[in-house]
Amino acid sequence: MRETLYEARIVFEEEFRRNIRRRAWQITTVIVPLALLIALVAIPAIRSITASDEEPKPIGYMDLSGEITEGQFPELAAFASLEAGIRALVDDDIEDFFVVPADFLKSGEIEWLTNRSGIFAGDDNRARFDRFLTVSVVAERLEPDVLNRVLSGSSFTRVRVADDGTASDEDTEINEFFVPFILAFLLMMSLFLNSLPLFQSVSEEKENRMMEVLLTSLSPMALLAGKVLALGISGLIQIAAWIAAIALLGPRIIEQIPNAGDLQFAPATFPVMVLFFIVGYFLFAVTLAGIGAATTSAREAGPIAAIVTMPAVIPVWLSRVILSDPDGGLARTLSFIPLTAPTTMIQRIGSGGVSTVEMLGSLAVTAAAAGVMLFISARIFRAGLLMYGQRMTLRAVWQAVRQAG
Amino acid sequence: MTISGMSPLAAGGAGEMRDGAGEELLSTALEVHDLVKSFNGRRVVDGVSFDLHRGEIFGFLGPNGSGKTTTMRMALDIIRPDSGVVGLLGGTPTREALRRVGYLPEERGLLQQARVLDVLRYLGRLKGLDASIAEARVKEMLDRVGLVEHLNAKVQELSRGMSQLVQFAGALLHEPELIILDEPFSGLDPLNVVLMKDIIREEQRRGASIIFSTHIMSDVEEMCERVLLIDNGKVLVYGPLMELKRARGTSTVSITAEREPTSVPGVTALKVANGAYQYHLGPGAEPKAVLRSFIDADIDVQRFEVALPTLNEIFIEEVSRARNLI
Repeated sequence: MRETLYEARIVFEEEFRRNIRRRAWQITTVIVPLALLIALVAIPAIRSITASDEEPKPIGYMDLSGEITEGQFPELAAFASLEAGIRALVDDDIEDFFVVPADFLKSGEIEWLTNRSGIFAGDDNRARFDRFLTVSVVAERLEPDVLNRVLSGSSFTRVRVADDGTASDEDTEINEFFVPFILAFLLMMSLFLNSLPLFQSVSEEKENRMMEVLLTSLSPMALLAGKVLALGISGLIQIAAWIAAIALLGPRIIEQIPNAGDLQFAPATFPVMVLFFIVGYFLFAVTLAGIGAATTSAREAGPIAAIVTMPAVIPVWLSRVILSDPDGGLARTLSFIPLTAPTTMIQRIGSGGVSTVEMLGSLAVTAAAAGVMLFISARIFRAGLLMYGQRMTLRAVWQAVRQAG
Repeated sequence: MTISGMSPLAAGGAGEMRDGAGEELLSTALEVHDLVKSFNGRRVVDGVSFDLHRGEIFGFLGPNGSGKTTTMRMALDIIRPDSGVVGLLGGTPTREALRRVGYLPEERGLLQQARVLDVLRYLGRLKGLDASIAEARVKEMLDRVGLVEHLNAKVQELSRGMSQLVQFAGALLHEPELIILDEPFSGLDPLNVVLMKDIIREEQRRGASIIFSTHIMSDVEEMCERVLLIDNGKVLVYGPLMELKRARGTSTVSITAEREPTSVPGVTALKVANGAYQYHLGPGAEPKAVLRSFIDADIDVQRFEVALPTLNEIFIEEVSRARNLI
């Protein structure tokens, strides 16, 4: 045991050093903080560019229905004739010209004259005029308070009632959907970005026979453990950098976006995310390492690895379904399938309401699967040396595992 | 010279193993007894036995696919035999014992993206050297093979021959007691072959035991005192090279003369090389009968040499016989 730990430590140190020197790791580690920093600077800049300093030009209209009252919307200019309105439009005195026909109350039809191109050009003016029409038509028929409510609409606050009857305010949409989704996405990315290099490293060492030399100096278990630990720690550093950047810069970015609400992270989310990263990474890493050892080249192993990693993507694809019903059958089922559990659970925990027992159960299932895969992969490591030039079939792997005994 | 930077784990374990070993075991660096290994129902190693004495250079010969690499892998515990026993440095091939072995596999490969220094330091540390000692040894060995200026180069930037020398250097970093080299000279230019042979001899003088496989018989004749020849997993020839040659008797007579007689009794083949007539003697033929035929024909003989069979001849004869070709 002491010998294995000593060997694993050497493998860990060398693999860790090599991994954090990889340009791909360095770029992916700084890319999230960098993207957030850019967003922090870019959003106000874009808003200041798009916000015009010029006074908005009036909107022209001609009312043939007689239903429109004037006076409450100073940016509007009424025209008595079509020709006068078109002339004002051509002279850039107005931005858009709306003609309200005589049968407007019946038909609801409005003719919109504009000299701007672009499918969305003038959408804001159309919305303003639409609102003006509503006010004009009903203004004299309603009390001011009622009119105000009709125009302002309603604001909903969802309150979650727990099994014990206690009620708590839910977060806004950004915290209900985007935060869990983003965390699951980052977890998935980090799982891939750190387990795939492990797979490539094993494949390369197998392909160029480096592993043959390594296994004369250390045990397969020490080699596997050192590699998994090295890439896992570098993955944790990466994910910590991402989380820190999101926690520090995320709320400031959200502040820049009108009506986006407040970005809030439940503090419990982070340690749980780290735990699921650890077991999830461990499971994927040892599985991919086993595939790398059992196949003859990275090229052959690639499609098999893609099939194995696919389940981690599925919960991210199904985010809307999972987050719409975090306690539903699909979400719960995916939480107990080891390969889908990490990215499912991080979304469910982010949206709240997952019991501790369920969380621990999901962690235990994933960790147990990782332990089984570690055992199998360590056997395949030695057995894989017998399989040069052989195509990977389950029978060939089984035979090789037995011969490695 | 011994390395003082061995980790406590490596150094301590080695001592225990030596103290507990018997005198006979101590005289052999590698002992292989009746090894058998089958893949997919085919016996690729079939009862191979041999031993490698301490401090000797041993030649391991055999045609392609004869089972040499599989035998070496079993000696190194990379794969396990179906039956048979391997004794390594006075004990079983434990990881502690294997840490005192240097191995150059037949198909060479290092981590292509890694720096030469990093990958060799890694190999040195796995063999029990402290990191700083490993780095110093990497520089020393790269200097020895003439590649020290490539210390910080990536492996993928090296030529095939350079990469082979780097890996050879890596196998010797920890001053192993036993060195196992699988086809070490293949792919090297003649200068680097000479360099590698010099280093192997230095390692022998240091006290290391060396076994290497090759297809180039002249390399074995030049460097080895004892040889093992296998084919189809079975031992064909095993023992001291000179004894093997003598046991086969005189087979060739070489005569340097200005011309040859019209007939020479008892010879089966003639070859002219470097101005000399080389006669292969048939069964019962006497070298002096060949010489007499020159004298009787009144031909001046400048040089007369009775030669033992070459290893190449022994190789071809034995393998052909094993395959029922003669």
